[in-house]
Amino acid sequence: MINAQDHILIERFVEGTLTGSGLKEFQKRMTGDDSFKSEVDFYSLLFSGITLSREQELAHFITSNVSVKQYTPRSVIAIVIVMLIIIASGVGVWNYLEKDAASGNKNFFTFNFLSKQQSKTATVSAIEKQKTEKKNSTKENRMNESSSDENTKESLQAKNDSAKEIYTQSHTADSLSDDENIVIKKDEMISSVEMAVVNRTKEQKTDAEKAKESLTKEAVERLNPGAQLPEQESSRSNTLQVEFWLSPVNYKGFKLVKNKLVLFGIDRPDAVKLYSLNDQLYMQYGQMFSKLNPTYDYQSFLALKESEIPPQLK
Amino acid sequence: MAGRNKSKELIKEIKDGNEAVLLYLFRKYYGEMKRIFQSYRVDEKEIPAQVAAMLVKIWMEIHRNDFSENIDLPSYLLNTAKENASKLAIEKKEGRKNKIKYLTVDDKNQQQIVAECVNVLDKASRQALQWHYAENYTIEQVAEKLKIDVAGANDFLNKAFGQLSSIVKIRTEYAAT
Repeated sequence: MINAQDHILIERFVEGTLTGSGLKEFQKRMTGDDSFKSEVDFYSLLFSGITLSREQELAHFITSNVSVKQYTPRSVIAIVIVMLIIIASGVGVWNYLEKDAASGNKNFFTFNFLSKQQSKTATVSAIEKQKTEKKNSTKENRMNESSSDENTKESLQAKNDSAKEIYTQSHTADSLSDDENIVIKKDEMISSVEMAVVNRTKEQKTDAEKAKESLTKEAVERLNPGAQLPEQESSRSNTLQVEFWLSPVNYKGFKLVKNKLVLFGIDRPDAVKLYSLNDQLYMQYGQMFSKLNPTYDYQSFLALKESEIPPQLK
Repeated sequence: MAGRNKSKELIKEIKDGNEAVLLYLFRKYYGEMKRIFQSYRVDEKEIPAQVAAMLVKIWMEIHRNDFSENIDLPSYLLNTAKENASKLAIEKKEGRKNKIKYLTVDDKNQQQIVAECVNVLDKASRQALQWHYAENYTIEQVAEKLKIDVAGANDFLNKAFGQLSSIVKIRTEYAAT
């Protein structure tokens, strides 16, 4: 039977704190007494078992209080899907913010780098088709220019619309086929000149109006001769900045913004004359007369019929 | 210097029995230790338990005064992780070589049986035994923790130890029959 004194000795022996004569005596007792030895072994087992239970308790305390993320295949797939969604939405936002998107061509999810290969074959056939269409439209243009029948306006409009469409198609096709041996043609400015606008309204004034005008002038000079007031300015500026452009698809039309006139499809710039009549701008190109109204968008030339041409312009 | 002071603080907290330090150490160094275990190709699922066991080992070493306060705790943690990971890798390799396993009828060792018997005891008795015999708290410290006098703590410990030894004896006798 183990008493309290032996209990302390065994405890110190197991801990390794029993030294000197005490240790020698203890070892001697262990070798001589088998029951004591078995008791020591049992105590030693109990101590190690208590330690083990404490270790397990602490380990359980840690693992139960801290959650560790385990990346299972399902969670990896979920992460990949989320990443793809983020990338797709990013591409959408990027395309939305691009310049082209502002003009209404909102292609949110166009992966151009992926579709490049597929579009190559389609591009070649599209360009061939456009070339034939271009030829046809050129023929139509010539025919329309020479004739001045009833359908002139409509055919011109249709011709220019088709030309515009072809131009757009060829433009996109050209841009898609970067590495093909295709010459990309662009709009080309021939010249830019400041052109006088001949005002035919003045010539139209009657004698009575002229007399009234001179009387007004005389009255102003008498009232305040030193003021040297400027003469009445004409309502429209007498000159216009005119730009002559050449379109690769033979587009013919104009754009008139403020004091700037852009003309497409004019082969002979020196044959162009500008007239102003009753605040309306007219253009004479060879035998053709057409009205030029202020516009921010390109409009085709609307040739006036013989009967529609004002006599002052003839 | 700051790191060394931090280490000392952590060791002091462990000596005082603040278990929250274990959680702090686990959260702070788990990432680094996980990488070490991964480099030795330890199974992903085993890593948290391995890291926890390592921290407990250090906790016990500190309580048994086997751990110098001057040792830098983080670097010691990482070195121990390396040792454990390499040991695990070797064990795994040997396990693959010796494919024939010699299974015993009762695979649980004696220590585990005793540990299970400790868990059967009431909380106060279990804690008192663990503090005194596993973490080397003196009778006075145990008395302070139990909020009783020293003689009372001594009696309480002896009583708990007697209880445990009788439970273990019954259990081992039952297992032997």
